[in-house]
Amino acid sequence: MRDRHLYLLLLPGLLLILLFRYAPMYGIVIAFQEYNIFKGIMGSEWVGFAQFARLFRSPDFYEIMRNTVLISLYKLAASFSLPIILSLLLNELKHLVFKRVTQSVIYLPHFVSWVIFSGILISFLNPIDGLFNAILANFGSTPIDFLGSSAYFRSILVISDIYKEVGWGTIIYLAAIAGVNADLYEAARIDGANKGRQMWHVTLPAIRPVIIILVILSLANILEAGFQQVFLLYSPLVYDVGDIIDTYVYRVGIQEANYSYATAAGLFKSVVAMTLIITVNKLVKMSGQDGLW
Amino acid sequence: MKKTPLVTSLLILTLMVSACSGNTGEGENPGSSGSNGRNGGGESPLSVSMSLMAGPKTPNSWAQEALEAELTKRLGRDVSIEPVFLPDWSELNTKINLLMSAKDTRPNILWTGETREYLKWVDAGIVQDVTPSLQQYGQEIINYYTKDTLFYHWDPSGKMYRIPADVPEASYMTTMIRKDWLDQLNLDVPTTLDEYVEVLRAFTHNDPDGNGKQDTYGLSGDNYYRSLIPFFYAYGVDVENFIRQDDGSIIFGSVMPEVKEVLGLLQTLYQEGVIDPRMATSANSNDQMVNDIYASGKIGSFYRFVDYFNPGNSAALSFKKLNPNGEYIAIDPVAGPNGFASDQPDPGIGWCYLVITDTAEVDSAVQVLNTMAEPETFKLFTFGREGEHYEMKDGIFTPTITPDEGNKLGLGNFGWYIQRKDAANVKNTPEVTQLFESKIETSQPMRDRIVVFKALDRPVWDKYSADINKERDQVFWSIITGKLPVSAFDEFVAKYEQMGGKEIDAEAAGLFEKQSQEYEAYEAWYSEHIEPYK
Repeated sequence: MRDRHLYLLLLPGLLLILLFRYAPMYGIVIAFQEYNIFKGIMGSEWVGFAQFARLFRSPDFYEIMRNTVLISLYKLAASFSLPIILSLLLNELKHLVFKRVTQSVIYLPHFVSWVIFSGILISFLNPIDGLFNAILANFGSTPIDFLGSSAYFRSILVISDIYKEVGWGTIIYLAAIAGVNADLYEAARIDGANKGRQMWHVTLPAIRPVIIILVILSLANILEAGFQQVFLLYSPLVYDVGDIIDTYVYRVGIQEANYSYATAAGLFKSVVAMTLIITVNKLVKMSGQDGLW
Repeated sequence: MKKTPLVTSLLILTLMVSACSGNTGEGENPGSSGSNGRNGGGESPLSVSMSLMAGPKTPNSWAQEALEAELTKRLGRDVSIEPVFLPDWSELNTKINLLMSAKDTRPNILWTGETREYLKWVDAGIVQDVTPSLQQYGQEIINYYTKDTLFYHWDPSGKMYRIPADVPEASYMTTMIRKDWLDQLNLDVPTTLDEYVEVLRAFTHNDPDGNGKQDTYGLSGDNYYRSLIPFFYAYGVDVENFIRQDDGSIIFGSVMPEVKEVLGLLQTLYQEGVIDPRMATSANSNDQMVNDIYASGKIGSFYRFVDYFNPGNSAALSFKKLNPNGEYIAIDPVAGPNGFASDQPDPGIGWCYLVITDTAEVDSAVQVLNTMAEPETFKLFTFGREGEHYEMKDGIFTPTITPDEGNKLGLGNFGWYIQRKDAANVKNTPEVTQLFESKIETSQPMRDRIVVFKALDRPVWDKYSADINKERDQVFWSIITGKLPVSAFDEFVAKYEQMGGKEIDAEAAGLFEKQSQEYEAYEAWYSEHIEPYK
């Protein structure tokens, strides 16, 4: 208890979390109601699991779940591996100015909003006068309606997401790499390890705990396939591959003022995310690694 | 030494707490004008808060001051307006529900297009009956709206809780076609669907702009079905509405067998390159995007707004600038195989409305609205002052200020508040006014077929419509673009049945019957409560 005064510093943070994160959670109960904004939470009719049943019985539930999970998994695979590779490459850059400039340039797309970015994408991928089709036309190809094609749509989501976020994803890894003990590299060099070997046998094992924690955390977002991005880019032509839980809930729940239904869908997502985090954390610990807790 | 950590901790804590409390200091919401509106009659000053969605949303604008001065003069008391600017469309309904959920945030006059929550407002008693006030102070309003329009806003209890805010012209879209291309290719103005299709093909393949390149399209438009109306309406179908059949039954337009023929034709035209492929993308739901395509001068025909024929229309201006010799003309709707032809009718309900909440004194609020509805006041806050902001020469409206200057003045801020579509809308040239008038007749055939429901509470439709509409959009656009064969339409019809189609049709029939009975009661009410006060 020597530092008990320092615990005082914890107090505002705890209070904030209790007040703004936990207290509003009582609103979750509207997922079990037919919520009426004027009757309030106490006055609205209780309907049990009816909202969840409606969600699961929706004719497109299977399609929406499949799209959500697939798009998420593709993005997860990319967002997990590519920033690591990019950080390893950036770490090997010797020219400091070039390294800093490169870092800044690859962070930039993260700060462009999806509204702007999707506008750029739509005009680049336009089947009539878009940049990509103009290039393809020079090679004799017929125009492709990329955003209207089920074959391309998910790839466009994943690639545009990588382009926008891969640079930002390197920040934590670069920080972790910077913390690796320099003696280990020296020892490896003395043992005759080249750059590739050093990355494989020194850097990667050293940042493994960070990688594991980030993967566990990103699993929490497995049902978050990127509402803004999908909403701004999709159309009826690609509903079969692009309609996700969030866009469905937006159309059916929010636009039609079915707040209970939207909350039920949100709660379902949270339960899935929590289950995944707990399971993966347990698996990680069982394999002898450090988990989240 | 021991005291140092304690002092430091307390200091940091104090700083954090004061930083947090600093944020709450702005809790006084200037928009919560609830009680201000309750200045009853008499000569006391009147402050009216009103939610606004239209125009540039310029705060403290010239338009607001001009309107306040006019209201002060007309009502004989000091009137000040507190605008509550609403956010963009995606957040609009959420914001309106929040505003309405508490008395201190409810505006005196609420503008909204939201119909889901309206009945709850009536049940909760937070919106007021305007009938007595309309009788006493609302002549301009009751004279402007037709009996049929007011029916949709009338409550069967014999009260009227809302006033339509913007009722479009009887029909405001038209088939438009490139006159200079017709002349160039020696083609006549098409009158039938077959002729229209041949003209579109010629526009696509016969190099109508004479630049030696295959870079033109017959038809373009937005990603809504309205852009395909020349095709669907020639067969007497509207895929977004319920259609009265010859035997008196009512069915959802999407499942009528004629739709299959139209989809087949559209698929052929899409494959031939006659239809602009951008129409199939959601990006084309954006008006600006379509206006750019229109201005490019590479499209032979659109089904688009009559307003494009006003010389001041921005799309028309851009088109003329880029294509000085280009000319679009409006043509009559083309006739289908059975000779049926129609333009798109507006349901005549109004797409948005006004409610006077329990925070306002109804008489005063109706006086304000009635004054705003008067042609001269409407022209003042919509177009500015004649001679200062615009000129009228030979019936043609010419702004003397740029659109940007107009925005700074807040012109348009009070739009969709009893938006007049008659002669007071001086922006229309005499030709455009005439075109609007002719559309009343050309849109009548489909007006006779489409069922417009009065009921806001349609539980079966509400339950199934999102899924059915999604399925329809996916299947229809996939057929048009060739992703699915035309036979997929039959599967859609079968799926419609499985997705609650029978229940939907039964509900529609029941509602229509109930509505017909309600109309009889309304007629009696109207002749007693409105007619004598006109």
